[in-house]
Amino acid sequence: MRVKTKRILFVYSMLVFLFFYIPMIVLMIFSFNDSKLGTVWTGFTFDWYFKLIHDEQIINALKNSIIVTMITTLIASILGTLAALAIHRYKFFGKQVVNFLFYIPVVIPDIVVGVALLAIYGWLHVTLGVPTVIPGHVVITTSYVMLVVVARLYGFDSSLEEAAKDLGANSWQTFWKVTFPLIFPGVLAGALMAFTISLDEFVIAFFNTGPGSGTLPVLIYSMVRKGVSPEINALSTIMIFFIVIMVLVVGKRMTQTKK
Amino acid sequence: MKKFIWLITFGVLLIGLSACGSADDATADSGDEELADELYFFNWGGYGDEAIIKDFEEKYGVKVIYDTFSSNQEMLTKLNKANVPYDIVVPTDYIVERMIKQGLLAELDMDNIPNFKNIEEKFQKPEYDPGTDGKKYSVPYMYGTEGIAYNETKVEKPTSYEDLWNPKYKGHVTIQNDSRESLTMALQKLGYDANKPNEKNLKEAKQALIDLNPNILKYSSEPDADLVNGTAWISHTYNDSAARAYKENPNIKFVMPEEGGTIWVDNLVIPKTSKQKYTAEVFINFVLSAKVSAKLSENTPSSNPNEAAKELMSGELKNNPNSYPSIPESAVYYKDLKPEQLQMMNRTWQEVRAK
Amino acid sequence: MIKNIKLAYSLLSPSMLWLLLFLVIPVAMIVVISFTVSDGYGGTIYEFSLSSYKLAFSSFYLKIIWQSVLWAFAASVICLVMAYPFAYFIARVDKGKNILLFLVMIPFWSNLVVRLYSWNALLNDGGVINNILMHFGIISEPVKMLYTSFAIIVGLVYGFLPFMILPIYSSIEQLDKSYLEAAEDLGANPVKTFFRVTLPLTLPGIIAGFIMTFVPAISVFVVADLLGGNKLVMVGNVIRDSFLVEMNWQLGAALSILLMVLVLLSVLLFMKFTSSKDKKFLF
Repeated sequence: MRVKTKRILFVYSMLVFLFFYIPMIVLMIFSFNDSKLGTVWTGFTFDWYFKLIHDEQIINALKNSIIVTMITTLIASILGTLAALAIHRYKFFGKQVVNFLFYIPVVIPDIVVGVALLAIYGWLHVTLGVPTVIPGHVVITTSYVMLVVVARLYGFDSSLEEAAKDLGANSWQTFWKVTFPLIFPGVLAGALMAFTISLDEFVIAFFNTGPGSGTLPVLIYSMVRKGVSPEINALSTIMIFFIVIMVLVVGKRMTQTKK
Repeated sequence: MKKFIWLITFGVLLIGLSACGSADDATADSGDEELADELYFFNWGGYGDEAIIKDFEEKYGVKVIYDTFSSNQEMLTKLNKANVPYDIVVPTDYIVERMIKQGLLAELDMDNIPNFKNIEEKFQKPEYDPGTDGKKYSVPYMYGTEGIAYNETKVEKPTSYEDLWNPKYKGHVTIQNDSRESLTMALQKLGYDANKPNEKNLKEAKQALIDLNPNILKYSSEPDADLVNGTAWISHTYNDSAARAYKENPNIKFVMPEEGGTIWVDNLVIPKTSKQKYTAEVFINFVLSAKVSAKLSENTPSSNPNEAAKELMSGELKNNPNSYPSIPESAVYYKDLKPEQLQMMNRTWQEVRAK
Repeated sequence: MIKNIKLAYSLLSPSMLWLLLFLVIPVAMIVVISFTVSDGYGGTIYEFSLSSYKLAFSSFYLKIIWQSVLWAFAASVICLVMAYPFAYFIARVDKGKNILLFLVMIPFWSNLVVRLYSWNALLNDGGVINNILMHFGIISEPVKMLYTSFAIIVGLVYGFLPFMILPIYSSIEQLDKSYLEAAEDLGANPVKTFFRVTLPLTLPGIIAGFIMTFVPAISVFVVADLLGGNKLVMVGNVIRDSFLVEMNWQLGAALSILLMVLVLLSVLLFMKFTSSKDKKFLF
């Protein structure tokens, strides 16, 4: 790539980053705002952080969100990757149907999934709680994982696998030693996507939670009527810093293992 | 490979089953006069009642599982379709009337709620639950009104809903984002009975709201922030919204319109599906005690119907003029309407918004 | 080969089972509900009726659906324009690729509602952007941005940009550099190389990104809630309202199915315009 092109790309990308981060900075600034109705600045305070620590409701919602997101990401990544391998690799009877089935969650409004599951739970007399949120979240995220992994497999050189087999590796070995490392970035991207969607997902969680099992987005939405507390800004700020630290630690470890 | 996959499938099913399993093992308690271990409380978000819940937990050793909703309809949907045995929910007046009619509520044993005497007399026998033939289903929690909030530096003191139509306020008016509430406001402005919408008067109300459109900043049931930062000048809203805004910006005042406006009361009720009615009644009694109710008022600017609690409140709370506006005789309660009427109102409201 | 087919089925069975239990059966139930009658209080009277479809096809709803399509499409195009060079930059950067990717994701681990609130603070009449513009004398009066289509499109772009970036990044990252070198060896200039080689080879990523952005953008309702002031509503809002405000499950179900079919058709239409090679990736 030419130096000039590279420079333009760099500037462009920085502008996109700016677009990403300006609202974040505003969000963080308002976590220190004295006003309870956070669109005007009235003064500096740490109050929201202290209140947050003692707010059992928010802490509980955070806990529920983490549980739901973790389990969803795990299940969706496994189901999605397995399906992607089958879809990309093999011709089989009913492939059209399978493909179609994976496209439903992508083209269906989340609210339909949420409401439909609520109807089924009600019909089967299932008591709502944290576990009842997970099926819906897995439904909407698995297809994304599958799509990302298939996109990765699409440019995948299958001669590498054949070479491994020619060298005497069995299917299991070939998978773990050749296929998986090559598709891993795709799986990771898919898992990241599932994590992000599930953590932020509101509609399905909203319809499918029971008492005490509301996730963070559900709690925040319920605050809208009487004003979203800046405690939420404080929480978001803490979460962002927590994730940044996590990323730095993981990133460092990853570069170390590469070496 | 195959085994591995089946293992996953199995795990997956297990999660599904564990969700189902817990549904059937709870057999109904006989409702003995013993406190249960847990209490499910489903309330409006933002009432700020965490502090009193904690006090209750400490005093009685009952764990309160607290959950919030943001509309009556949402609460009803969860209650009817979700198979959750909530012990206490907080419907608004006309929803109480509907729930009684549909047989969804348990009759309260008032002997367990002696603190009911603390409630102002006019709220003891409301039309929606008059307690005739000795049956009482609801106890008021907080109340409020719907009228006009305004920024006194930007507009002259309004007297009537008519003022919202003043062309000087172009782009700075908000009205409620709710078919029933906004159309009722228009009906009142036109001089019709708030609880008798029909095809003819709704048509007029619709035209009135369409005429209001150039003035509208947004349709919102929480205009507090817009009032505080000066984007909205005059709002058809609840008095507690105005009271919250007043705390941030003392120029925000609230007044009831001469057409009457409306009154709402949120009530503590026990659904029939509750398995621990006695504990729920103990909780209700606790909330109605003067001290607890006064503490609750510290966290919410809604009007408190608890007379005994008012005496304990700090001056600052009582001095928020928007928390206790003077209510005209002509102010009305919403009544539960027929489904056809509600549907007609929904359609009309959609047509207003589509313009 | 028979063994492989068995393997394919077993690889697929967990996800198929999951989708059957938690998607197909529940949605079938919603389809049934859309053909029944509402009792006006959120209940269902099991009688066959087309009344909710009649209502769903009224001009009011069709207008809102069309408006949502336009907004979601505009937002997706803007996302694409923003995302492609950006993803290209990340994919081709020498080091720190992972850190950059994580930087893309970080804002999206806070809540959508909170992020849109921040845009409210940026866009309102007394907000940050108006203040800056007035400070530098670019404008003399606040420009009305909040509660306009502009605000909604900004919200949609902000909400779904990563869903465009990630798949495009993934497809650029795995692009075989030797193709590009070959093109250059054959004398193609960089612009030609980009349009003849890079773009076609990364088309699957673009398609995936477009679908992943457009579909959630069309049905989201929080954006219109916070940045549209309820004067501007999207189809997601009216669906939510039918279920939760009007308590008319039949209408909500019918509208959902209408939206689902519409999105499915537009995805198919979209794929018809792309080459057959790319279709293989999708179906």
